[in-house]
Amino acid sequence: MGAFRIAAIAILAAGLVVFGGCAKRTVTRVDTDTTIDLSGHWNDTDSRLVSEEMIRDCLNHPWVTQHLTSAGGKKPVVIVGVVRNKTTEHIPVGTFINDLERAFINGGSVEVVASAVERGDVRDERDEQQHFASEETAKAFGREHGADFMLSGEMNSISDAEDGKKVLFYQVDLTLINIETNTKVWLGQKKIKKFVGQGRYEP
Amino acid sequence: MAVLGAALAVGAFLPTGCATHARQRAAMEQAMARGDYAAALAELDKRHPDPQDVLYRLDRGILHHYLGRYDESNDEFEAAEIRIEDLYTRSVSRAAVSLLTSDVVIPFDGAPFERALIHYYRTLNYVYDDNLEDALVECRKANLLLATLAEETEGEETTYQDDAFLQYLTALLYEDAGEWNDAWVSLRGAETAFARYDSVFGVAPPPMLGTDLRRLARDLGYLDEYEQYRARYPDACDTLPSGCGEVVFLFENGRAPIKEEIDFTLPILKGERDRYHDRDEFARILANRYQGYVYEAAELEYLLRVAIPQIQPRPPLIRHAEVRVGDATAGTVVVEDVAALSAAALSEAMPKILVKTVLRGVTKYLGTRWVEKKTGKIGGILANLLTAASERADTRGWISLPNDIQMARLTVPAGEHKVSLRFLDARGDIVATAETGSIVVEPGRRAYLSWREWE
Repeated sequence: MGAFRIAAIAILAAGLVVFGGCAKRTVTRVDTDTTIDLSGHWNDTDSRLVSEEMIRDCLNHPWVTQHLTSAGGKKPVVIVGVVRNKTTEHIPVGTFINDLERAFINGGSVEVVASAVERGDVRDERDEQQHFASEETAKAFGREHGADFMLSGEMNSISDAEDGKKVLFYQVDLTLINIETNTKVWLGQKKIKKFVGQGRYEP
Repeated sequence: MAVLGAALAVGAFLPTGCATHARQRAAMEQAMARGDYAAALAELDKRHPDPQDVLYRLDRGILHHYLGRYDESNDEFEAAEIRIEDLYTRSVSRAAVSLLTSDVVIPFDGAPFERALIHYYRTLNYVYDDNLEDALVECRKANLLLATLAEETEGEETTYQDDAFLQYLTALLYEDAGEWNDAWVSLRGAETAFARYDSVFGVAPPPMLGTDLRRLARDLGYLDEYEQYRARYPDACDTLPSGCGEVVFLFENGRAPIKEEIDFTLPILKGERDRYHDRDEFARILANRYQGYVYEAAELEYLLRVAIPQIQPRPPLIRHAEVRVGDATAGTVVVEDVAALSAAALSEAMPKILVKTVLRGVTKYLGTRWVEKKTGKIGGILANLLTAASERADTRGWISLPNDIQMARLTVPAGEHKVSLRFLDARGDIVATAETGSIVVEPGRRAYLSWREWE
């Protein structure tokens, strides 16, 4: 290859390098339900879809009607416990737990009580009220709704990669346990598989 | 001439400055050596703020870690990891420019051992933040990276095929979380990897490894393996006394080696330019003259100047540390020889670096000859000056890493204990001491503590 052609390619390449990174940043607002997959890792869409589908499945199982029958028509009270992240990604599990609680509440069949973390703040507030709020408005201790069922679970992942191609597999397992009898009344599982391709070369 | 001159002029100034990477970071390193990490951050941000530069993120990550800003440290390391992943896609244009200028225009994406050690710092960040769950995520990421590395290097003569230290650290953390199966896999991986470390780097398996293997085999009910390890490690005491916990002390010693640039010349003899039409073949023949080549002065047409990186070790004064927690004392042993890993990585990359450097030199040489033919001697001299100015060895590396990482483990009664450190040189003389404050140890649990010394 002649020296002139080498130089011509180099000046073109240098130009791409120097000017190629000059793209202006743009911001576009999108609907929160819009699916946008960028890196292939666990994202807000996964959290929303998994929680909605799993809770829908959970609420369609017999344990709800069985409880209504045995409790004289009172709705079951559920607390969302720990969901362990056993994947290879730092997943904001708190967001997923919030999505689970929202799906439960929106389903209309159950009551949801504050988690262990949240009720600490609630109890502190109640304690403050004993000292500072008026007698008529201060909320009493010993009147919390005890949960009937606890939802907990874990998230796992398997990753396989070669030559810029990656397959990411997530599995979420949730269990609903009767707090009084320790029986498992529902087991749910949801799997997500993603293929991520990354080219080896770019201009 | 204008085209070549412009290409070389642009390319000559694309690399970040003319000094080696170590010299560019000198002010930052001086502040780090004083223990003034905030000043080191300020120096880094003043001179080299480039959010797209992996090394910038790694240095910021390690500095925030030493400042105890664990969230910020993880953010920087996360940004570095994302950037490294993006850099899997290689820019053809940058590769082309590097053929005429220097490898420094190609973004740095870290040697495998540097990428692995990101997980060490991130794991510690989460441990110190009392977040064992996310610490375990880092352990899994590290194991995934090492598994991928093992696959990619299978059958090759590569020195770094697994990280014994990381396997060992992840095993301890898996065990802390009650994930015994994962701990077992990592511990056995550490045993194999330390055997390799011992033969290649002289880093012996840490004495507690046998204890850990015996204990886990027993707890998992692997009776055959338990008997094997009992025979192999007869003196190991695999039961923690009741009411006791354990302190894992990690000592980061000294400074990782830097790379200096060395220049040398390779003779191009008369007639060779026309004899070898294949530039790559010509470059390989010239590269073989690196170790020395005998020729007659009359045969010489051109002396090709090339620059390659060379490891410059920075051996620390301190050889090992002694840690005292309450009434218990233990000496540290090396579990990761970063200096040796750095030297091995460069040594293994050197044949490719040499050929590519010589190829670049040949390309520039052919270019300057063309310019001289078209424009005369002055043009040739100008082109020659530009090609010489743009010739820079790639001296980049994560130099804020320590020279080596050492570990000591102590069994202590549960409770709060004062911690004091003594640092000894090769003769066993104490060269420095330190008090790190106190540490709280819970019964049956591990507490982690790390310390960095710069001398």
